[in-house]
Amino acid sequence: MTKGWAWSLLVAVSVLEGCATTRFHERERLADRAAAFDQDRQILYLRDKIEAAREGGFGCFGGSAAGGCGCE
Amino acid sequence: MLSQLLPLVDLLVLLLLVGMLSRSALADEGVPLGGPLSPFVLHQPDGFVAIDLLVFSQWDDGGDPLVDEGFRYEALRLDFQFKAADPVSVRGTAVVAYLQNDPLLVLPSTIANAHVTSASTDFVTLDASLGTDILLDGGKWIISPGLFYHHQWAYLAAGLDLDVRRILAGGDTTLRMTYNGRYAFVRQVNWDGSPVIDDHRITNNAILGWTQVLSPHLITNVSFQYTNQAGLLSSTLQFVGLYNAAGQPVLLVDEVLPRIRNRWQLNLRTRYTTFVGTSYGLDLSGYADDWGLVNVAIEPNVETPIFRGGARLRLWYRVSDQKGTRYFTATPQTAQPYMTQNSNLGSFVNQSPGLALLIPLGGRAKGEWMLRSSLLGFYRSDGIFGVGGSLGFSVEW
Repeated sequence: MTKGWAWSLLVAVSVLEGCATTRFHERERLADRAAAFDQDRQILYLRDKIEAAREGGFGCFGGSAAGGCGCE
Repeated sequence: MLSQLLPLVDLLVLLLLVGMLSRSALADEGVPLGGPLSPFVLHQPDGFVAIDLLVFSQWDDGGDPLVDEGFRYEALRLDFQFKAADPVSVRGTAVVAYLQNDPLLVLPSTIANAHVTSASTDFVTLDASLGTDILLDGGKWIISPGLFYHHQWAYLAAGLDLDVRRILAGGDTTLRMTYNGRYAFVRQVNWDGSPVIDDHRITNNAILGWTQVLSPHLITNVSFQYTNQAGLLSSTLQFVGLYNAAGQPVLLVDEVLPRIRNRWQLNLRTRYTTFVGTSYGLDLSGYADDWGLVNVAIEPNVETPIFRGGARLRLWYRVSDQKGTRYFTATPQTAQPYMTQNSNLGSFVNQSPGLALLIPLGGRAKGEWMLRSSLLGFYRSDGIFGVGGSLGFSVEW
């Protein structure tokens, strides 16, 4: 069982390792604010107030129910 | 003999995996692992101050017939962060808000123990928080203790926060573990004005996230989140209406919910950047809890430069479909061990579009100034809807 999981993970990581590795000069697009997963924190606060409080959970997309920033 | 070597092979395979992840973590060409919240060298300011004016209005054209959920909300919010020492930052927020509920709702005369459902139509709320971010081991660990305080009419909560974040790898593959904890002391008043014995609410939240760069244009993130809450989870300002066989409300009783709640959430986010400044995103999330509530959401979004001078426009449209908790009961005839009529815990489809405009104002006095505005709204299929926005300034250095 352990060996099966290890081989599956090895294959998965090998596939990822095969993905093109971005070089420093290629990271300009993804380092820009537009590519960030999380919005401006002030806008995010208002969205949490309006959206998260109107639904049964406590935030979405990684938001923390504890009030801290758990966003990725 | 071969079977005796298999455990050793397992161990070698696991060591190989660890080594491969570590190699990925050693950002090539000498580039550091990046800021605390990004796998890349994304600009992280040493400090900032932001002031925002928030306004929001909600209307109730459905929902619980015994409650009018309409209100107006105006708030002024201060948000700041500055570097106190090399690995330590201090941050804080303060929000003063004025909330005006819709006029008192006169209840049907069939209800024996109440005539109106709101004791106060207007009140002021105060929120404040203060915390520190401590970076350790070159930013791989971030420990953030903090305090918070919330005060409004008939409700007071205060307590401690603790966030711990750990970057397990870096470069094109980044693993992150995050823990958030909150202890809240809670003091409330019941919906009928009677006091509630002081209580507490403890929240533990853990997130495991995997960010993967698939190309110089495409980045994805998958995260799994588990949340446990214990303590006072009912809203003592909420009540439940009991009905007779003819469908008439006859009595108001307390909302009662379990004192423990477990939630599991899965998020998937992608960003595709065509050229610097323009990025298309798709976010998916789904969560379920042991109260029987299930919520799935999808949000396409786009951010692009507009005008000149670095202004950016972000647009999003979020749609969520929620199946309410099994404790939600619209017209019960008898009291149940657990029951609620809180519409936020019910079943509905919620659509919430929005836009945000950020305009850099240039550098002045060693800081970069920004004008920020937003407009957003929501419409729920159960008849609750609202619209709001914000306008603010910030400076970062």
